[in-house]
Amino acid sequence: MATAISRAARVERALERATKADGHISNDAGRELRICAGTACHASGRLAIKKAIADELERHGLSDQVAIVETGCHGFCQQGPIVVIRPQGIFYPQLKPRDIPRVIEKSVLGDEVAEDLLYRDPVSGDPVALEAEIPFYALQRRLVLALNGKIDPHSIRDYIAHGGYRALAKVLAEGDPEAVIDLVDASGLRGRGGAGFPAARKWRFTRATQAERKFLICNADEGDPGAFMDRSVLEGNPHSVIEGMLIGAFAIGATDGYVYVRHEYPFAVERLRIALDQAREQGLLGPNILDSGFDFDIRVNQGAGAFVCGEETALLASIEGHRGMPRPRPPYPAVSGLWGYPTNTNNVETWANVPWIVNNGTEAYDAMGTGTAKGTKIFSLTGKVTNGGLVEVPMGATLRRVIFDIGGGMLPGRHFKAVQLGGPSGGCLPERLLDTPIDFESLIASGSMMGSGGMVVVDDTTCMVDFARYFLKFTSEESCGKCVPCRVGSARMLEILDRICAGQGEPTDLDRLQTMADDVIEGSLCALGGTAPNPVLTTLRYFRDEYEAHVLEHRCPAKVCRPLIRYTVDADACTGCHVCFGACPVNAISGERKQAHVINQKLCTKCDTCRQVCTFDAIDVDTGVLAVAEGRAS
Amino acid sequence: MSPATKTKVRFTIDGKAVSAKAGETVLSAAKRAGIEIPALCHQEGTPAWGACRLCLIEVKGADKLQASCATSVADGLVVHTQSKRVRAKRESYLKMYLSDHNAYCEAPCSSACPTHIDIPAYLSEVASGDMAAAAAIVRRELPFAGIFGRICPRYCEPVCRRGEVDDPISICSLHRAAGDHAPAALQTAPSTGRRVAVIGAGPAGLSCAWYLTETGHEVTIYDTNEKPGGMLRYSIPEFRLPEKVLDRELAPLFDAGVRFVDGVALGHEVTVEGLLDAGFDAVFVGVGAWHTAPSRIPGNQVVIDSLDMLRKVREGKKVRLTETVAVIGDGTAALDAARSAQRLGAKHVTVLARRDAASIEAGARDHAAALEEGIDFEYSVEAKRVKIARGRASAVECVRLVRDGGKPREQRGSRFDVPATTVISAVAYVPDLGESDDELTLSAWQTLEANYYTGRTATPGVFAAGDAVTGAKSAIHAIAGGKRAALGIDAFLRSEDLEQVEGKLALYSGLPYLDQLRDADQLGELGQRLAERSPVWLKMGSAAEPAKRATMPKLAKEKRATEFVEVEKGLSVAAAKAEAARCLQCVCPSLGQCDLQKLGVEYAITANDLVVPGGRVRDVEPAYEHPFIRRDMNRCISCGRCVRACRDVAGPACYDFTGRGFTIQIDTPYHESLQLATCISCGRCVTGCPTGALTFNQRVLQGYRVDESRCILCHQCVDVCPVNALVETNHFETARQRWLELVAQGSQLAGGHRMCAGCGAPIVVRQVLMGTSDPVVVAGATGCLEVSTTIYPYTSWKGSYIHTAFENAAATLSGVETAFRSLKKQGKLEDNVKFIAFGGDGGTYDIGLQSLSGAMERGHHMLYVCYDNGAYMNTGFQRSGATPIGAWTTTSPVGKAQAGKIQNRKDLTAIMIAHGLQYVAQASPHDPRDLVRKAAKALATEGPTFLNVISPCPRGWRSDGAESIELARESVNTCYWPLFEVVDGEYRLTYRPRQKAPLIPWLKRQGRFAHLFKPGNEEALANLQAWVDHEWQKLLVKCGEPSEEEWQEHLHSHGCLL
Repeated sequence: MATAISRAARVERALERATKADGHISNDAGRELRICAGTACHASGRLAIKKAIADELERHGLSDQVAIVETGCHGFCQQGPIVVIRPQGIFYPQLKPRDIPRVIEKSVLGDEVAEDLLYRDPVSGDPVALEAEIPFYALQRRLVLALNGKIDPHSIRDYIAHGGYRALAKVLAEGDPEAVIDLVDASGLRGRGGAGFPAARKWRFTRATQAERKFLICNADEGDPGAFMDRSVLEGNPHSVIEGMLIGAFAIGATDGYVYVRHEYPFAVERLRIALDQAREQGLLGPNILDSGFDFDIRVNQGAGAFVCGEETALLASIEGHRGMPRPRPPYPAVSGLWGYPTNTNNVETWANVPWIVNNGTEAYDAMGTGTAKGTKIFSLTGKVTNGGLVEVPMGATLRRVIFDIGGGMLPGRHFKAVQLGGPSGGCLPERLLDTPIDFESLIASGSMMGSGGMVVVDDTTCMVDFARYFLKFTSEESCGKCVPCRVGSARMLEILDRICAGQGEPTDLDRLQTMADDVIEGSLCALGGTAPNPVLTTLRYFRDEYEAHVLEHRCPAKVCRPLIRYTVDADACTGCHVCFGACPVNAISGERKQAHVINQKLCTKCDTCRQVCTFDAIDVDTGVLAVAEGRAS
Repeated sequence: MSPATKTKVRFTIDGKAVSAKAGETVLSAAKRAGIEIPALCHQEGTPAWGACRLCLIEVKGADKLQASCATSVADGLVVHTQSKRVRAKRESYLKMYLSDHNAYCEAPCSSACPTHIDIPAYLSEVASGDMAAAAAIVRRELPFAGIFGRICPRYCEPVCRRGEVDDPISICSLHRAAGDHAPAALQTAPSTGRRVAVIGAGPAGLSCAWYLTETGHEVTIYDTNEKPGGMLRYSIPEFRLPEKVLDRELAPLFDAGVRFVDGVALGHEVTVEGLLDAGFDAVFVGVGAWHTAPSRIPGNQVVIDSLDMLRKVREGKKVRLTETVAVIGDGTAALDAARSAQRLGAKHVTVLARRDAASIEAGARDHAAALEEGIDFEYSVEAKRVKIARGRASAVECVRLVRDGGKPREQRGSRFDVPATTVISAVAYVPDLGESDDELTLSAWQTLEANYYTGRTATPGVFAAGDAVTGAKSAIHAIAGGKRAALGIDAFLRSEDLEQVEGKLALYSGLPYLDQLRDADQLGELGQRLAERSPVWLKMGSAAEPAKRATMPKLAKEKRATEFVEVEKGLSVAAAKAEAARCLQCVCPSLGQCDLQKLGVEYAITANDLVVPGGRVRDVEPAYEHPFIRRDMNRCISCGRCVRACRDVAGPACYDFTGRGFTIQIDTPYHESLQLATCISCGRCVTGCPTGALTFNQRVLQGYRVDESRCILCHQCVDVCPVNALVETNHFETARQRWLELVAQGSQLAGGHRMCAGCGAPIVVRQVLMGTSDPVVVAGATGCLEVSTTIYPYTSWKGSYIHTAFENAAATLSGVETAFRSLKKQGKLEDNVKFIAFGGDGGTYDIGLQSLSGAMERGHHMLYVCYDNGAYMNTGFQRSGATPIGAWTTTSPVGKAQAGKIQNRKDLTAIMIAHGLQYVAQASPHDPRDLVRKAAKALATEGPTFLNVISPCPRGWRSDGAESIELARESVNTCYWPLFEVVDGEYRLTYRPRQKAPLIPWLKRQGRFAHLFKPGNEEALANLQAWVDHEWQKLLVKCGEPSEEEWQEHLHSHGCLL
């Protein structure tokens, strides 16, 4: 046993050395200004805010006393740019540089809040000062995102100070790979990339294959429109992913790691590279990790943004330098993957779960979730919802809880119509399924899927046929074109939807869509084609009336499909204010001041500008046979 | 035995127990067991690809269908390859493939045409404007393109696939155009000495005579009429077929030696037996059906016979008609009679047709013409009785007919009268056989009995076809029958067993389509010609843009009412070309070898709801540039077999996927031509292609010879030869080595000189100096090179360099060389030294010419190199003897009086050749291997040698310095500056452009010719091109090279399509 003890001691000593790395350590009790440096807050102006804060602190001579920390994504992306002031934990959303002097004066110099700048509850309208008290955060269970918004992603020291690499040290100290797999197996962790395959089972397959090299891959090719969980984790806490991969690599016996990340995620790539360098510097990556004799290194591979490269085998082809095209399985990558070596792929969120499980044990993990789905799941909540952003909830939470309780429900005056789950390959669920618990099996049964966690909410202004068409267009264009059901089948389905949206659909088209969808699902080589028809199938299932309105009555109930609608002026309501006259980009509106205006239907492009600018609600949108007839004539 | 070492497994496939090798895929195990699983994308030697989705199978225990190419066999595996579920999916995916397959298998027009003309082929020729080639294709199957282009009922057009896009092609009018614009000549084979009698000079007889004559048999035609033509001449009216067209079209037959004997009727003047006895080897009976069958209609005594009437009209005899005319019948004769009646003055003409409007016997073309002219029709009626009043017809009593599937029957109570004071009958014609009716077997309908395929009758040596066999039918059927009989007669005369051929054909025509394709080879040559296939028309997508069908110019309507002038005027050549270009060319070179077609037929994709107007379809320009491999990617199904066969099996990786989703395509890198994509012409891509996307070019292979004088040692031929037919020889290797050494030895002219950027001269000097590794003494005539490389106190010359005056570089160097020889003779020097003089064109062509001539004539061992930049450039661009005609210089200005230089360039190279030098050559710096090789050759020659090298001058040429090398290359490709050498008076071209490039683009890039492109200077431009053409032609003759036309022909026949 002498060697085992000394091994544990060696690992412990090595980790101790790593804690002495350079870098900031966040402290909830310290005086800190945390600025969200996620992509969304960056886009809404965090650099200007940072400069304003630095200037202001310097003006007050506080530069040395108050730290400015650029953290990862806070998740409440709709409210950016976000600043949180510690030690109080005051949350300031949507700041402008001109607000900064007041924020500093009130909350840093003094111990007050600038009330008018605080977040307001969308229901009550009351201001909420503390981050922890905002319902959006309070109702979440943040496990993977726990350190997001708290620590500096550029500082390995910060991560280690918050318990980082402890799990790795523990695993390496024990030195029993099988035990790690057993632990993950017992936790019930399932892949967060979409299919929900039990992680440990995949690891075991790869471990069981004999080979001189084995690869381990982190799939960060998050391609779904509206999904940004993986990006935020990589941007906010890259070390958690690296640590998860290290533990996995040790368990599997992998020698080389890759993070396959989208080229469109520059911050994620940059922070990941910094994190990898730091980990290497601290002996956490490379040869003889933590003095344990375990060798492993990770390379970053940037993808060019093809959606299909998120598919495991296409991703492998892409790393190998080939065109990103899936291949049939078997052979499974666990047996013959990257360059023919056994390869295990999991996505960002899956890897980030691993250290938590090792640190907290399976029981704590098992306590969250349902019978078949354990732990938490992050969703990116977007669309026509009040509070968009990243939401992490335990598995089994209902859609209603996520959309209404955390997401704050619909925008004022609008009604919930549907939620598209799981990205373009997922399904579209109606209001009556809002109490569906979010777990793999329930969602599949509803015709949708967990996918990687995109959640797009739409209200009554969305046409479900058009909505399905949007997603199908995406998948059809992102198809690699290799197999015929996906290449031709989805394109033909799209043609049918195009016809329906143009008012040229035939009643038989609906059945044809249904059969073609089945053919595409059954025959496609990979999951891209195998799930591409889901939006069409679920909308056909839950919103058939809208399809029928288009096909039988040439009517778009949501008044979205342009060939089926017509803009007219309500002469009684029109005051002749002339605003629409000026706003119309094609000069289709005529009329004298103070007299009712008229829209020339031949010129009108149905761009909706007039309706948006009219303050008297005098622009009517009709839909029906008449509009079609005119559309055809023109 | 542990599972790991087990080598055999047993599994069940379609209920059959099969043993397989462990690790094998179901696809290959099934194949060995004789169970064919369709697989379009599987490429032997590469891993499972899994794209085609047609090899999907049902595996017991698996929910989803599995790809058999990726499923490994295992003990106890139960597999179904033909279950209903699997077949339904395959059908669905085949529909997807075909909806995107912008191509077809077989052209329906050719099938529908009774003569089976290769319509797409002749349309393609018409589209390219080659009417003679088009007409030749038509005449292979139908001798009288001009006649039938006018009168054919056009069975081809209603089935034309172009109709799916917009309107069918005017196929018929186009072969009329081909016939009209390309008169026929009947080419005959050497005489066989056999004699055939043809009885009847109608379409059947004429067609039979044509093809018999073509094969070399001697033919005599007998006819009752005075002139040949039969129904064509004596029944079809002038307004449809002018007599002069008929005469023109028939003339080649009689010009070829066919005898025509008039006034002879079968059974009257001659009999079949009599002709055979008289020494004819065979007799063809094509007497037509002129005889009206006894009519059973009451009142028929007042009825006029349509053929009698039409004949009278043709012969210009008087025909009396009343104002109200009824014509019984709806065949061609009926409609011709009706339209003639109208022209003869009848006011109301009614056609009483048994058929409905859509299926008028005479065909849509004549039907439409009759309607246009105001003829009335009663459809689906039967004439029961002609009512007579006062000895004349008063009306025709008719009943309406109802068709419900089978035979038409009378509609009860539908009797009605059609008033008519003249009634013309055009029904039920039978052949008139005279006394011969007992020599020949007759059918129940009083027509002759003869085999459909060969025209063979029960009497040996006697053949028959046309209306005499079929009863009155369209003339095109008679033409086809006559042709078949000619083939039959020819075979009979060659003692072939016709019964056997007929038997095979009968069997063949009963086969399903795919078996027909497969078995076509077994029919033999004659059988293949006579065979008629029954194709399956798969429904596929088309990306063709709508384009209007050509309108046939027609005689004005008012004229048509009275005049017997041809109604259809014919298409102009331009209109015909445009119309023919609309053809979709829906034929495939892979017909019968295409896996997609095979599956399409098996799964009967004859209807395809995925093919909708406006649906997206693959649309790619076909690429036929490769000598072996034709690529029409409109037929591609993106299976990627070529990609993998080329990359993973053969190696070069010429293909890859581009685009994604629906727009995925397989293409060469950067869409370059296949040759440039390192293709080794191994053909693996073609043999693997499951469709007709990649096919082999038809070509005659020959042996190749390498012209070593032109070889530039680039090694490419050795690299690409797929069968290692080319190898490096020692000589080759040495030469290559030598070249590499030369390159490695570096330049003898240092950089840092003051020559202009883009000047050709220093490049020329460096390359010339690479021609030797011996020490060199250089003399430079005054000029750019001399001035700019030796600015005191600097020099760029690494070896000895002698300054000399403008006019005497050659003289100076000859002195140095003499001194060297003297010193060597005295034993004071041992080295080998080479002597090179460099002069510009001013110093060479003009001022230094006499000193050069003297030095050459005296035979000094030296090389004189002229860098020819076409003027005195360093002194301000004055013209020299080398300045080309039309070029601007300061002394050949551009203005009112002249446009650049007025004189042609002096041919200095020829002058030097005339000195009888051992080696003279022209070279260009764009091709260093050629230039260095020539310099090396010159320097190795004992005695005086001369190189003339073109040297672009950006200042004087007013060109972009970056383009100098390109301009040099183009000067060679335009043949302004041909590359050749003369060794001991023997001319040899060292480079020949594949295609002589036009001069204009080259001129346009040089400002010194800018004025030539202004109006008024066309002549100067033309003079320059003419001079180049003339000089090039002269040179070709001297070099013993083929002329430009022969060269192109040569390249073409060798498959070079670059």
